[in-house]
Amino acid sequence: MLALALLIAMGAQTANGAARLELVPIGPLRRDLETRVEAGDSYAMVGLAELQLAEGGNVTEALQLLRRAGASGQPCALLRAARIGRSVLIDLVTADSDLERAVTLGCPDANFELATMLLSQNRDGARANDLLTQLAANGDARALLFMARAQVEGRGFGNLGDAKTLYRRAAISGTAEAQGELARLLLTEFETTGAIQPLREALYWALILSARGGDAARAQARQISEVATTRLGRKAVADIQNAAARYANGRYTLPAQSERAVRNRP
Amino acid sequence: MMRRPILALALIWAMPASAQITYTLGAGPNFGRVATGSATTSITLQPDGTRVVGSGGAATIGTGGSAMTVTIRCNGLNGGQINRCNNNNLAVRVALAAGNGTGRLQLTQYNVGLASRSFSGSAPAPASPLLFSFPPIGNNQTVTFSIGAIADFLATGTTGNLTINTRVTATVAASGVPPTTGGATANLQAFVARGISVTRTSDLVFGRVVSPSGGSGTISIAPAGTVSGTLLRMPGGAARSAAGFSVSGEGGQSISISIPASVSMSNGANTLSVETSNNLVGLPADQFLSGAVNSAGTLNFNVGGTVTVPAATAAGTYSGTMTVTVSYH
Repeated sequence: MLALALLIAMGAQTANGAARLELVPIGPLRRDLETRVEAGDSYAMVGLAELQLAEGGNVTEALQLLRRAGASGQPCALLRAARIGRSVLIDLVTADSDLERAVTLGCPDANFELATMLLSQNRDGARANDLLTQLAANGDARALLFMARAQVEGRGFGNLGDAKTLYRRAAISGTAEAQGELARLLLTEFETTGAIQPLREALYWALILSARGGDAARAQARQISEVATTRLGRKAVADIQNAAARYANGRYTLPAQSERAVRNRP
Repeated sequence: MMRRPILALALIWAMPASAQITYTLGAGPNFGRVATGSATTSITLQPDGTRVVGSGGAATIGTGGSAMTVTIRCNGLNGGQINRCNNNNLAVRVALAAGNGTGRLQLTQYNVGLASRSFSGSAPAPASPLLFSFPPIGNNQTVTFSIGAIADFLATGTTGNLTINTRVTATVAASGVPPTTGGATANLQAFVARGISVTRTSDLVFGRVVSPSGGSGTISIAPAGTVSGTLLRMPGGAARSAAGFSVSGEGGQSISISIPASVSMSNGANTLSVETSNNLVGLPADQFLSGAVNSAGTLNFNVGGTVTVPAATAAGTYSGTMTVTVSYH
């Protein structure tokens, strides 16, 4: 049999893969979760709340479970409660309270959400500034991108440096939007001042972004590449392409001026 | 008066021994494209161009086998040679011009058939060198025949476009023995590829999910392994994964991959359907193996899927088989 199997014609071959799914009934799961909630398991509280929400059950009961979970070591369950309270129950006061508690109890995502909420509602800009500053200092890419955009749009925060530096830090962390917007910002700077360095860096980030795919990113990279080839020459463009490839391989090297700017970040 | 006929007879014996034989060879016998097997495989290229594959696992790819057409003309330049064309058999020899093979292609025998005239005797059995003859074809007349071959295709060795130089010689001399040099040559040829194979590297596993209490729910696993969908996912089951497959064969070759659009999973009499997706760039039927000819090529791809589970679907473990087929174009 083995010999026969080995002598299968090699012009076409097949392979069988399996597809498997284990379907469990809801009843035992719910009973299991309820038992664990009774025993104070905060993960089970979140699970039971999500089950309730997925099944279209009582939202208020689900929010209570999330608040219990938040108080039992799952602070981000309060952020979830705040979002549901705001969007489903339209109970903004309770939602704000849940969000504040999520911040107090240490849910990282809640800080950014609270900051942007305060700003969008024109409430306590100073506190929003503090929250964003703290997040940015910790390298939170969302905060860096938010603040960079604010700088570009003339809504500056504190003393956090210019938009390029903020964009760069978010771009280095891999945030696609930051990479694309930084490339555009630098290209505009080149077009305005004629300085070569912004063009080099614009190409660098555009190439990195285009490697992630997408027609718009590829079009942007093509546009900047054409300008750079004319102004910098093919050799310089090739060097920047190699640097972008190193970034893609996890060994990023920024153009020297950009590195200095990032090193000197606030 | 008696000396003049004797002189004339002497002149006849002093003439060159053979008439002028001219050859017109078509393209050499061509086995077309062959994927080698896990063992040496004999393939017969018949004089009509069809290929017959023996055991060993090799396979022909697509169409493209063709025999070599040979036309031989016997042209006497004067009275004596004309007689040779008219009176002597035309003896033909088909043989290797040099070595019997290269890389995975090794010739064992030639065969002949489809002749425009009857053979002198029955058609000869395949051999190397191959000797056969026709009854006298006449002055300035031709005979046309087809030459095929029998070759071993080895499991290892050089691949790609491989050739074996073949020589055709003929004579109408009284000896009936064609020369071993001269004549005309053409290359017997084959494009030899490594056998193509595909292996499964992982299964499409949706893991443990909770049956919806109303309506229906979905779970999707993208080819990259990302999990999404509305069904509540539970820990504790098998680790979720996309199915993975690895194809190997001759580098740089165009291949076709067939992936079922849907796969049925069953649990007793209950069934669920999986709509598949894959991460191949371009059409599955239009893929290429990496690398270049005469080196191994590979292509890895993943298959994901989406299952829609209606409420009240019986709980249990559902499983099915996804058959993926790969072949050279």
